[in-house]
This record gives sequence, C-alpha cells and structure tokens, in this order.
Amino acid sequence: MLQGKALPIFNRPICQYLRTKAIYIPGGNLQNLVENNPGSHYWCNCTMQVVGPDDQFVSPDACTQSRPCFNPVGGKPVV
Amino acid sequence: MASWGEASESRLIGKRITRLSGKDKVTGKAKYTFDINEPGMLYGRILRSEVAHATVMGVDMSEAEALPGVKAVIPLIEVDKKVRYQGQEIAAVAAETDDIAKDAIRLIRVDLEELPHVVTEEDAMAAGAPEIRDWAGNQSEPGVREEGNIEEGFAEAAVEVEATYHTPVQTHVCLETHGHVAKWEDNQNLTVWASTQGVFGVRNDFAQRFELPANQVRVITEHMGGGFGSKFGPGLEGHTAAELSRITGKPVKLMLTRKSEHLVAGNRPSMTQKVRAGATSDGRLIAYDMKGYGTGGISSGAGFTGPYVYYVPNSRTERFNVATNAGNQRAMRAPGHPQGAFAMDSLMDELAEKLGMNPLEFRRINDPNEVRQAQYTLGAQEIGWHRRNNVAGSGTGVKKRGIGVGSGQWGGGGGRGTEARVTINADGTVEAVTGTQDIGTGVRTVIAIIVAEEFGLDTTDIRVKVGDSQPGLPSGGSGGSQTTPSVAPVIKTAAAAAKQKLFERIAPLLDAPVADLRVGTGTIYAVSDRTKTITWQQATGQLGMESISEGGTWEEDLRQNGAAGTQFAEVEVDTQTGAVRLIKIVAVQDCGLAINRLTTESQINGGVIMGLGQALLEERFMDPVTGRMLNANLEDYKVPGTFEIPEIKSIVFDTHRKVTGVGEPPCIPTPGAIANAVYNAIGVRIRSLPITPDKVLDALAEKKA
Repeated sequence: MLQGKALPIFNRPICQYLRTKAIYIPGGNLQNLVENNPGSHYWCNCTMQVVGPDDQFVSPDACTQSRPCFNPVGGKPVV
Repeated sequence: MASWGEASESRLIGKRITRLSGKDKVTGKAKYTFDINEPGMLYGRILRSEVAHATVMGVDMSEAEALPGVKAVIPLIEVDKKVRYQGQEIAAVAAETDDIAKDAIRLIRVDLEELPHVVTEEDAMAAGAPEIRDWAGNQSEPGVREEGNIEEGFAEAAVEVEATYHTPVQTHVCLETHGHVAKWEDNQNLTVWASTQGVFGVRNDFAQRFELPANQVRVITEHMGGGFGSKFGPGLEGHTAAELSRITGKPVKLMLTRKSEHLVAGNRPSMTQKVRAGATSDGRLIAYDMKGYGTGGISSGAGFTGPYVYYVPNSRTERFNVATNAGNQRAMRAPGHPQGAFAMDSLMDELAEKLGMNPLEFRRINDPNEVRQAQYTLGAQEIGWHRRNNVAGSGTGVKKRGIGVGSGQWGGGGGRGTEARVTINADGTVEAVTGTQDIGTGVRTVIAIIVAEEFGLDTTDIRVKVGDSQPGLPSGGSGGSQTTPSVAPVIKTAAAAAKQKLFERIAPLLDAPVADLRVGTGTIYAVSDRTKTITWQQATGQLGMESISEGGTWEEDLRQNGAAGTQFAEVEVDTQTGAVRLIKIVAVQDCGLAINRLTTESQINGGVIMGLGQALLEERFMDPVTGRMLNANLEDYKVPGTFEIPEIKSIVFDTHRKVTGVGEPPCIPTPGAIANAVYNAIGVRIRSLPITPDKVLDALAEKKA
C-alpha cells in the first residue's frame, strides 16, 4: 500500500489499522488518512467494518490514542 | 526526456491489438478466483443478519458444529455488539461441500434484540428518527464551500432555475463476486487467490491481520471479473476465508453470493441536491447555490461533484452524508462524478432553454476546457446534432426521438510505486513481470505491446506475468484510472534499459557503435549500414548462459493527468408505454496516448454501458418497514443487457503522446446526455434517475394536466 510512495507528512499518530481507498492506489491522497474526508469511506483492517474492535466508528478524527484498539503506524512507542 | 516517439514510427503502440487473454477467456481456460479448486479444499459460507439494526444477545453454533462434514464454525460478531445493516456478518462455517456449508449456516441460532432502523434518507433525517451512528440527526457535519459572491451573482442573472435532482444507490454488480481461496502452509505461509483490484494492498492487509511478515503472504489474481472500485481490501470475507483455512489446516474457498454482493460489497451512494442557478442574458453561468446530501449506508463517503466542469464565478455549496441502516458504500467507477454530472448537465439544459439558447452553444460559452471544446464539434457532427428538436417534445407520433449532450472530467495521470523487470533470455524469449493486476482492462496486453514495440517483436512473443505478489515487484491497486499511466512508463523504461544492454553486447559483433543500433521487425541493425543486420535470435544468442534483466523507473514525461470527455445520446421515447430506447451514443473520450486502441475503445464502451444502466435501469430498493433490500438479485435489480445497449460510437480522442487512464471517465457523461435527450424527445424533464417508464408516463400525464 504505502510502498514506493513518498511518505506522507503524518503530523500526528495514525492508527495502522485505519483504511481508506486512497492508500491502495498510486497517487492516492494520503492526507485522507490524516484529515476526515467526507467523500471517503473508512474501515478498520481488524474488523473489516466501519467500526473498530471497540464497536465505535472509525475515521481519522475518531481513531485517536484514547481508544483501546489504537495502534499507531510504526508500532507503539517504547516507554 | 523520455518519450513514446512519433505515431508514424510506432508499429504496435496506438494500434488495435487483440488482447492476449481473449482466447483463454472465451474458451474458459482463464482461471478466475472462482475457478480455483485446491485438493482437499473446504467451502466457506457466511451467516448474515436479515435484521437491519439490532444488538447481538447470543450466537449458538453448537448444532452447526455437530453437523457431519462441518470442519469449523467461527463467530464474526461478539455478543453485545451491534448489527447495523442487513447482510452484516454473524458467523461463518467451513465444510466439505458447499451444500453442507449452506445447511450448517441454517443451524446457527442467533438471538438479536431488534432496534429501530432507518433505511431511507428521508426516514433518517426525520424528526425523532433513531440516531444510528455518531452524527447528530444521522447527518454528518456539512462541508461548505463558497467562491465569489453568490448574492452579486444572482443580481446579475437574467434567468434562474431552481430544481432538485436525485440519483439512487447503485450497486457494483461485479460479475465475479468478491471472494478468495486461502491456503496455509505450516502456519507460516499464506497463499490467497483473491478477486481483487490490488494484489499488494491485499497482501499487506492479510499480513497485518495474521501478524505475518509480508513476504510470507502470497496473493494471486490471474484474472478478475470486475471490481469497479469495490475490491481493494480483502473484506471480512477474505479474512474469514484465511481464518477458516488456518483453523482447519485446509484450503478454503469463500465467494460471496449474489445477494451478499448487493448487500455488503459496496455501492455508489445516492445523491439529492437542490440547486438554484443563474445565467446572464449573454449566456454566462453566473451563480450556483447548491445544498445536497447522499447516503453511503452506515458509512461516510457520499460525496458528489457540483458545480461541475463548467465555470461559474459565484457559488456556494453545502454537502453532507446521511447515515442509513444499509451496507456501506465503496468507491464506484468515478466516485461522485456521474451523479454530479447528471445534475449539472440537466441544469445546463434547463438554463439554456430559459435563455432561448442552444444548449451546446451554452456549454461552449461556459466550458473552459479546450479539449472538450473540440470534442463538442466532433461529437455533434457524429450524432447529427442539427437533427435535434429545436422545441423539446415537438416531434410527431407516439414514439418521439430526442438528442442530448453531457460532459465529464477525470484525472488518470498515474503515480509512483510500480516495480517491474523486463528480461531477455539467450533463446530470444522475453519476460515482463510486475505486480499489477489485469482487472479486465487489458493491462497484460498493454505491457506486451510496449515491450514488443521496443524489441521489434510481436505481442505474442512476450510473456507477461502480472497478478502475483511472489516475484516481489510491487505495484499499486487498480483504482482512479491509474493503472496504465502508473505501469506503462516503468515497463517502457525497463524495456529500453534491457535493449540498451543488449545493444552493448552485440555492438562489437556488428562492428558498430551502440548509438548506431536500431531494432527492426525481428532484427537488429546498424542504421548507418543496413548490411550489418542480425536476427533477434542471433543477437540474444550472444548472451550464452546469461540473461539481461532490467528494472524501470516511473518517468513523469510519459504520462499526463486530465481526461476530458463528452457524450451525445439519441433516444426514442414511447409516449404510450413510457419506455426509453437508446438509439445511439457517441462518446468522445480524451485519453492521451492510447497504447492499445482496441482495449481503449472497450473501456469506453464499458463505461457507457455502466452509465446507461445508471440512467435507465439501476436502483437499489430498500423496504422502510423491514429494513431489507427488496431487489438483491439480478432479476429485480436491472443491469443493461443486449436489448438495452445501443450503437455506441467510441471515439478515442488522443490529442497527445502521453498515457492517461480512461477506466472511469467514460461512465460520467452518459446519464446527463440521456436525460437531456429524453427531455428533447418529450418536452418534460425527469430529474430523478433511473428514467423508468413509470416516471416518463407520470411526467407526461402531469404535463397534459
């Protein structure tokens, strides 16, 4: 998915399970992972549904570190 | 600077080349995921909810587990979690036969506590409607955009139109349903045959889900029976197939049923927009005020374009999503564009009529795209625009004919991320390998054309390997009309690099400088002395036991973003039955360099057919009472068949020598062109798709009254 693309500037932690079409295609707008795009469909790679393992809806705005299922791209930081 | 060269020098590129997989497809030799049968394979089935909204109180799988032949039963939802739409997954089984799997599904007992549901936009937005997701009133925050000064714009307008346009939910109807065959080896390596648009994306998703290194997952998609934007991730059915295979230690095939395909495998969201627009007396679109919404089921993503294509200096738009208890939308061929184009092109004709202006002339004034300006002329000539009714509905007789026009715009410029290798073997054989997938668009043949052109060979001389992650040559998913512009430059530069290496090897043999060498048809020669000519086999024979294998780079100069299109439709409307019969559609499609003119035309034909289905036939019906889809089959959900498809004149409008994708854009202008043609025929406007006989008769009756 992200292979071969210039890494987007993720200015905040992004859950590695969050999915949207843009990350699958060449030239896709990866900003869709950072900011809610109302024109985009989001899903979770754990549940394959529009809700995460906690049964709450997923989106760039909703998938934050406050959720128990949140797992940032690159893994959780070593404490 | 990299270049595709002049058209006059091309032997294969730009010509009509039969697709390499054509014979295999028509003879049944081509293997789709559906055709994969592994020894000892089990069959997977999924139990789905028939209730649109509920809380899961219990799932009892014991009877199913006890059924002879059943090898695994797994839950797909936990107790206390919510079901949010009909079709949502409850549990899955793997069994020795498909019939046993079906029986086992029936033996699973589900205890659901039903909750109030809303399956239409109107019900979802009604006062007191149950809130079904994290949006107040089931409506997402509106996206508002303003340009110019809308009040000043309307003050300048000589005419105004206010109208509401609607398009319903349309499902993808992939002829090969979503599905996978999954096979584990030693619990360490997973092979998946996937009906997917993205081999590498699916590989990565499986690797993450099963906590495997990506290089221990292999995904294969040799042939694929339609995706149209709905087949990017594995879907829950993919993860389920792999989980059932992991548990049983046997390969598992799990393909969706046609009903499930309608319910859970994506759809094009609906659109309802109320628009007020104004134009000046000299035909300038001057003000546009639109508020609209759509539903993508329980998901977001119900976006649509507007204003579209035509320049309007003063505009205000407000769009929002409406949540309903229905399966989520997925990207569908030019997401948001056909809906917006239908509304915009209908609006343009309505404004032109108020101005007393020819609608084509009105478009010429307001369309800033130079390519489309030329297309208007060409398309009008081809359809016989002069034959349209100057006064809509003025034709005589029961069956009335009309002509209309619509427009569209797309990107399709491709992107980085493809790796490829072109290999020349000593016996003269050639291989081209990359991790893209041929989703039916013909990229396998495109790759062969490029390599064959570079080497002076025939396409059948090139062995193309795509649709497999194992060679480790990634490529992006086939979406956004990006495949050919992403892949073609890499193949071209890889082939050019391999050719250069071969020239370096044989230049001493020919006693000629490398720069002097050229390929002929099956030969290599020195341009300054044609007596220095050897055959391809003589040249490659110099490699001995070696091969030449080169990678390529994505040269931006070899592709270009931007694909303008316009279409003209002629229809015949039976004013007694309300039936709309398409006579002809002219599709003029900007595509840059068409590497294979034949498959480019096929792309255009396919887009037009999908567009006319949206215009005249396709609509998902939801029952507000039960919350279920009423036409989740292919008898009541109508798609175009041979009787509905008219003469299609696909005009490949290749204005430059850079590659642009055209998978999506040809479906955009069709509904608007057809709607305008219907109006031109009968003099009453139908602002809601599909334009079915009942709507036509109602509109005619209203006019008469």
